[in-house]
Amino acid sequence: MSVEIEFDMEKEVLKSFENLTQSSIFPSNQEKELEKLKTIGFPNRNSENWKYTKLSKLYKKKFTDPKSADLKVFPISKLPNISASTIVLENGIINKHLTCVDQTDGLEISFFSSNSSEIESKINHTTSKYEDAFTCLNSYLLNEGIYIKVKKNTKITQPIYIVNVVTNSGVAVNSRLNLELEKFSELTVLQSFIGPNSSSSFVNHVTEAHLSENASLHINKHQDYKDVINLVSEYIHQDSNSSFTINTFSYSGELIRNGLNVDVDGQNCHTELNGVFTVNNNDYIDNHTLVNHIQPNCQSHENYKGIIKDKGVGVFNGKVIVHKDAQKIQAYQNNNNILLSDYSKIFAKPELEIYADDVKCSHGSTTGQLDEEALFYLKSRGVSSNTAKKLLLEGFIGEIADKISHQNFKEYIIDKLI
Amino acid sequence: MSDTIIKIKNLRCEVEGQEILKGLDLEVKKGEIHAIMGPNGSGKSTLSSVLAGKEDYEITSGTVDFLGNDLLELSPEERSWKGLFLAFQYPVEIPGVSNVNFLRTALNERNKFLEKEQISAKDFLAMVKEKSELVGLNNKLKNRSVNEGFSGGEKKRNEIFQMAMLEPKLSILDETDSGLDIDALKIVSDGVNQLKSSEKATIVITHYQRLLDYIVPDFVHVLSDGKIIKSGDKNLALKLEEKGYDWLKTDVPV
Repeated sequence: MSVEIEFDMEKEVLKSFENLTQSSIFPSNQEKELEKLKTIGFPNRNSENWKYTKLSKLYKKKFTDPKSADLKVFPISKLPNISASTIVLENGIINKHLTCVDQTDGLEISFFSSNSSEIESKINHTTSKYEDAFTCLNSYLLNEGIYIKVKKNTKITQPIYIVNVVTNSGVAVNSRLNLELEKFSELTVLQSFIGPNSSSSFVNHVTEAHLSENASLHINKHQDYKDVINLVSEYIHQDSNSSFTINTFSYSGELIRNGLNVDVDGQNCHTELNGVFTVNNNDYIDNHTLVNHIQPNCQSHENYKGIIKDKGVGVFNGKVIVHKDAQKIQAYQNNNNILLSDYSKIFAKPELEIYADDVKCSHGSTTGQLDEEALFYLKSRGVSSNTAKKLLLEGFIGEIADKISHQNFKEYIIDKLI
Repeated sequence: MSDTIIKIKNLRCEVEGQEILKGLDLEVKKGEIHAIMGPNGSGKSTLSSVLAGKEDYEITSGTVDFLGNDLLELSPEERSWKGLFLAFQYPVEIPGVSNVNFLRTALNERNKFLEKEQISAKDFLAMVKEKSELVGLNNKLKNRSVNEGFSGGEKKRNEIFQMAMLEPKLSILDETDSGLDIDALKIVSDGVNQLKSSEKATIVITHYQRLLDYIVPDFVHVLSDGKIIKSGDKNLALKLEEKGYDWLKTDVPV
């Protein structure tokens, strides 16, 4: 009986996307992906990892294909002033006017749509073991993807800025970013998910990154959609001596969920996951992270800060798994939250799963309100109430904003905070 | 123009139904230094908190006139903009908020309120240099987060540094001597004395006479059970030091 109900659910959910099946850039793959999707099944509130997520917000909607919608060109003035190679994906389509890529030796950038046969074999290497329905949905309906390869010994000093902008209402965008870092290479990526006029749209994005030995990847990600459901699934694979850092700033969106999975599959790796999330109105922002320590002698640091206002709901669920033979692991996890209203909520779940016996791990989570004593102190010196709050919140997230090495992007992030 | 900076009349306030100030009167004029002494629990810190605008207190009666304004109607920041300053007994540590950045914000918000020009970065830095030298505040501390990791003495110096930056008309020093060794006490007092002017006034709240050797008051008031029970000149402080507060309790004034 239950099988029948679940099957019905898949069918029902897929109805939301039935207008989109023509848009895939990998049509030959679709049948296979659909079968996989049906086997995995869409999560619901009974799925442990999704129990706080109101997926009904997604399942009830019906989306149109962005290609058939009217294109409203996004004003570039809304972007931070960053002198870097910029790639703008507007409603899942490369906007050629705003895209400008500097040619550099050792750097290869291509779009899936222009090279689909070759790229098809390069994706989904890191995703399959996670069996995630939305990643399958992404493969099934994929609009466009960006493939970046940094060749051996190449250090790309200028960041690459990737903008995922939605300018239409009611569209569904399935996009990808695949990063391939060869040995001893370095890359910084800035990522913006933005759309000021994007209500009732759905952005389902997948990032895959493979870091070869001694490679270094730094991602700064900013999410600021208006009334959009934004799912981002990230799959990172680290070989030995590699270094991976991601700083995620999630500011606004009807429903945001970041599923960040890192497989640390080499010794002497450095892994750093930082995040700030601010939740307003009735919005929901969820950060699910997983660090898989498969090999010994690695370090991981995680630090997420949540600011929840109005009737917002925030989730922090960070998990670290230290496998049996992964000795001498140092894994630290921290989460702090500030609730700014009587109706705001946070679900915080730091988790450690340790199977090795010689490790140093810690985790902690705190939730509180703005410090009234500090507010009074600032006000008594002539800082107005609103400014005092802003100063305290900037101070609260300061240690994470300081992780952004790109000054203009950092200022942009702080400016957008409240 | 009147010489009065602040005039407190029959001030009564309570916290959670318990009356703390029970009809307090005090008038402070330009150029004067007033010391308020009193035993623990007499209401000294409550008085300073109420004057600075802390919300935990309910004012049940009385008036406070501050330079022609009804002080009790103003928000804490407006009180600051109009020239009131409270040096905290226990300065708050505020991680992540830079000491000088917040002061610059405070000065600019005040200037905006007073319809004055914003202070330029150059003038601000010159002012920071001058005022921090006045209280011997370590250069490194100015750029750190507010009071974070400061020693007790450094926190108090930082209070006087901020006072110097904000140039208040009335400064209230709440137990500024607590937690200070003699050297730090001397530096902080020197700072206060140098800031003294015929246009400004200071209220020094303290337990001990010791501070008054360095900051010499024009008037000394004894606060007991929410009221000022005796006023005099600096000799009153010496007498208190010698005899303790108990002699006043038997010698009840009218």
